[in-house]
Amino acid sequence: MGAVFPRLWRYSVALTGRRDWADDLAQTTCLRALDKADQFEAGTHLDRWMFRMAQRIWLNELRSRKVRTGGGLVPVEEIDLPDQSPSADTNILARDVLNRVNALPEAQRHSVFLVYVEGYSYKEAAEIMEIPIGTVMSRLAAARKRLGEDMADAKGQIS
Amino acid sequence: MTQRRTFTDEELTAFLDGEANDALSAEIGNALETDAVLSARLEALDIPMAPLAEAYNALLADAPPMPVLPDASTGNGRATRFGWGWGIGTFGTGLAAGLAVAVFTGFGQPEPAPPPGWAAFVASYQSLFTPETLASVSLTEAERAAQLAEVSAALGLDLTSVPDAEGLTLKRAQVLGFNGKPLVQLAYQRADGTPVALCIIPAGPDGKAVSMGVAQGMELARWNTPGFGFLLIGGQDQQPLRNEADAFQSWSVGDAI
Repeated sequence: MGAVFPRLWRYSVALTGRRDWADDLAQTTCLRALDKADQFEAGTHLDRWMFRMAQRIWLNELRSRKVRTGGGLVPVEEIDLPDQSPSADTNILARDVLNRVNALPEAQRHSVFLVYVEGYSYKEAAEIMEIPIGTVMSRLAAARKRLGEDMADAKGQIS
Repeated sequence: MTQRRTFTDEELTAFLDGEANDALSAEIGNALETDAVLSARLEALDIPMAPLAEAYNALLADAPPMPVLPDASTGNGRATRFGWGWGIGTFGTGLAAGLAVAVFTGFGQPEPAPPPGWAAFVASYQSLFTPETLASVSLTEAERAAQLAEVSAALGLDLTSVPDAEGLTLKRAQVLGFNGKPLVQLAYQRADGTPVALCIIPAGPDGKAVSMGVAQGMELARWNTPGFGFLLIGGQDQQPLRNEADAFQSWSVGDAI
């Protein structure tokens, strides 16, 4: 579990949009995993199992406490990437893309994270989020379309 | 005549992601050779995702250490580093549930909205400072002058004569970066060890009076002079920070211009 924890925490950041909430979510997921350890099937993927658990805990938290992070709009400052000079140009580009992704609706953002950051296949992402694979495709297509429009608008404003 | 097929955004996305099956890939590939509209649609969807992955990869280094979890083998809740394997069995459900509830106590209470833009960024950074961070740092007059000259040149604002507000000792002056702009941080420490930072960034032409707020559990004060935004942050008591902010603000609208 120790090996998975950094990625679990990062996924928690992507889910919640906040580092402090991610700390709580990742820790609670570990506790839940501990409690459900007998349900883990040896030979299957621990990361996906824990990601799915984190997703469930977060959705339950949202439902029960009605915590909404502004319709999915999470300012990048909350996630607070380190400024990694001297690769400042790369960092600015990364920050720009991250900003736009963070402005996506939650469901799209989560799909984008699992497929484009974690590298899961559509099928694996669908299993983690417990949604049909077609929904993953729709979310990714919608996300790409919106990001493309945003970036085209930005380019238009500059030129 | 062959009817030209319209592909959905989902199909094009799957094509870009290497998730389209062979038949669909071939179909889209063939169509791209003659269909300029399709090419344009595909290009519009072809967002570079590598920078996103890079950005999130940078986050991995910031992951906190694995939390101390109860010992599953005994079920007695003794705290231990997680070092056992799976398959030991379920440990006390009630205990785990209780801990989970405890962890989430207060979890759903929304915090006050964070200050926007660079201020939130600065607040996150400042929250990492402890009384020990700069305790051993002691600038000589020459070092102080050199650091202030360096940050002044980077910022385009003369900070060489910045005063130490009463009770504050300058520990370090450095240039950071935010969205391609220089962001100067003057790190101070109060006599009681509280770290306080004065941060300055190029901003719009309008001056603004001092306003107080809270971020990351710390008091903060913000104001603007024509061309620069100032933020003073640190500690949990408003009054000393307010006094310090007033001193720095008076200087910023006078000597610094």
